[in-house]
Parts: sequence; structure tokens; C-alpha cells
Amino acid sequence: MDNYKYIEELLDKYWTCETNLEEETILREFFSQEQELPAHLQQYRHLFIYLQEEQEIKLSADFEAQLLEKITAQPRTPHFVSRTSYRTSFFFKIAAGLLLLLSIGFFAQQHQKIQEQTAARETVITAIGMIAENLQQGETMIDEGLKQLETLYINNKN
Amino acid sequence: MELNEFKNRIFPLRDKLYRFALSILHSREDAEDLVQEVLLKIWNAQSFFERIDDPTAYCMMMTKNMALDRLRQANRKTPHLPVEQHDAIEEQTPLEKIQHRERLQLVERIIRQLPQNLQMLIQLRDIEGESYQQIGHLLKLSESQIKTNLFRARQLLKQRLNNIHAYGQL
Repeated sequence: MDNYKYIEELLDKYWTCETNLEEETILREFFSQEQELPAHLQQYRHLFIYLQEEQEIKLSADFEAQLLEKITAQPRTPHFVSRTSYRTSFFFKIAAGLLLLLSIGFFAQQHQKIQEQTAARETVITAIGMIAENLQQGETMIDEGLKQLETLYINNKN
Repeated sequence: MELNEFKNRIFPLRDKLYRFALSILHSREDAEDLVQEVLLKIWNAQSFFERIDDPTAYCMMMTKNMALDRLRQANRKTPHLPVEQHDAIEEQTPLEKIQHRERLQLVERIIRQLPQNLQMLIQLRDIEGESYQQIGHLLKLSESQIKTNLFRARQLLKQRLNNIHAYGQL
């Protein structure tokens, strides 16, 4: 019975999920190799044999050839781009074009407005300049008039 | 990805994917068909696939999702698979061989009677030898959730095997 102590310990750990992958391999190999076991271990033998044998299941031998044939026969199409998405991308292109045209129109309008504003500002500045010039002329005339009045006043006084 | 690279990186996964698909679909034909579909999809979407860090995990995830989808669509009870005959123990008499195979079929039936999520855990841990971390990543569960569910699965298996041993039935 002592011969199986290690396996019994591993088995207890296995049922409570405390075994690591290596210990689980030991259990599968042990049960696959040992034929004559005490009844308390024998009852689990076929479980581990089953798990061991399931690891060896393989695809049929001609699977690879069949797949390669399919791969080489069909054109390589991008899987994630379907017909629908081609159609969608077409509409996106039209939408993007329209958006671009609208943007250009908007900016052209804005540019025109700015040009008009600049012209208006320049006109106002010119007008103010003219007013200022005229005011200066008026001031000079007033100064001259005052000087003449002053001269007349002095002459009359004398 | 060129054909050679595809052969080197993806082809070696095919048996693993097949066993996983088989554990869900329980039909060799369907599982083989599904693996072919998965591999063709990967071949066709290789520009996308080249950006994937872990191709094994991605292929397993794809196989799981597609197999579960098929299972839902088919919504049918699948027939039992005959357990593969290995005849590893050559000294057995014909009668012993039959008994051996019957016991393996019984184990298979016990596993197939578990809920789908528990079957998947047995497949990934006890057959594919995946770590808890890998299983958690694949099934989108925490390691503690994986351990809790696997504990349940193993306890159910143990209980049923004990019943067979004690009473000769499930």
C-alpha cells in the first residue's frame, strides 16, 4: 500500500485542484502504465487513461492536403472586407467628396467676407484721414483769421 | 504571411484545435470541417492576424466561438463517439479488451454529461494541459473562477466514478 502513497497524495490534490501540470501528467502516465492496482485506485484508472488517449487524437492524414488545395484554389481575398463594406466605403467616398466641396465653399465665402471687410476698413480709414486733413485745414484758416483779427485790433487801437 | 509561414505558425495548431472542436461538437466530421473553416479564415485575414500577439490563444478562441455557434444552430443531441482503439495493452484477452473499451466509453459518457462549461475545462486542463492563466484568458474568467469550476467538475467525476465502483451504475 505504501508504494502508492505518493500517487494517493497526488490524487487527493488532483480532486481539489491543487496539482500542477507536471503532477497531472504523472497521474495520467501512472494510470496508463499500471494494470494491476488496488480497488481504491483502480476505479479511477480509466479516467486517466481516457484523458491520456484523448491527447493523441489527430486530424485525418489527408486534412493538410485538402486544406492546401483549398488555399491555393481560392483567390486570396481579405476576409474582413465584405461586399457590403465595399459598398459602404463607396458611399463614404461620395460623402467625403461632398464634405470637401462644402468646406471649400464655406472657406471661399469666409475669404470673400474678409476681403469685403478689409476694403470697408480701408475706405473708413481714408474717410477719417480726409476728415482729419480738412479739420487741420480749417484749424489753419481759423488761426490765420484770428491773426488777421488781432492785427486789425492792434491797428485800430493805435 | 506567406504560405510557408502559415504552415510553420498555424498548421502545427491543427490537432489541438481539432480536439477542442471535437470536445464541443462531438462529431469528427463537424470538428474537421470547423477546423478547416477556422484555418481558411485565418489565411484570408492574415494581415489582421499578423497583429495578434498570441496566435494559439486567438485560434482557440475562434474555434470555441465558432463551435459553440454551430452547436446552438444545430441544437441537437450528438451521438456518442466511439472511443479510439489504441490497444496499448497487448497482453489483454479479447474479453478484457472489450471491457477496457467499455470502461473508456463510460468515462466519456460521464464527461459528456457534465455541463458544457465544465466539459470545456476538463478538455483544456486535463487533455490540452493548459495553465489556469491561459484558460482564464480564453474563457474570460478569473483564475479563481476557473479553479472553482474545475473543482466542481472533478468532484462530479469522482462522485460518479465512486458510484460506479460501489453500485455498478452512474
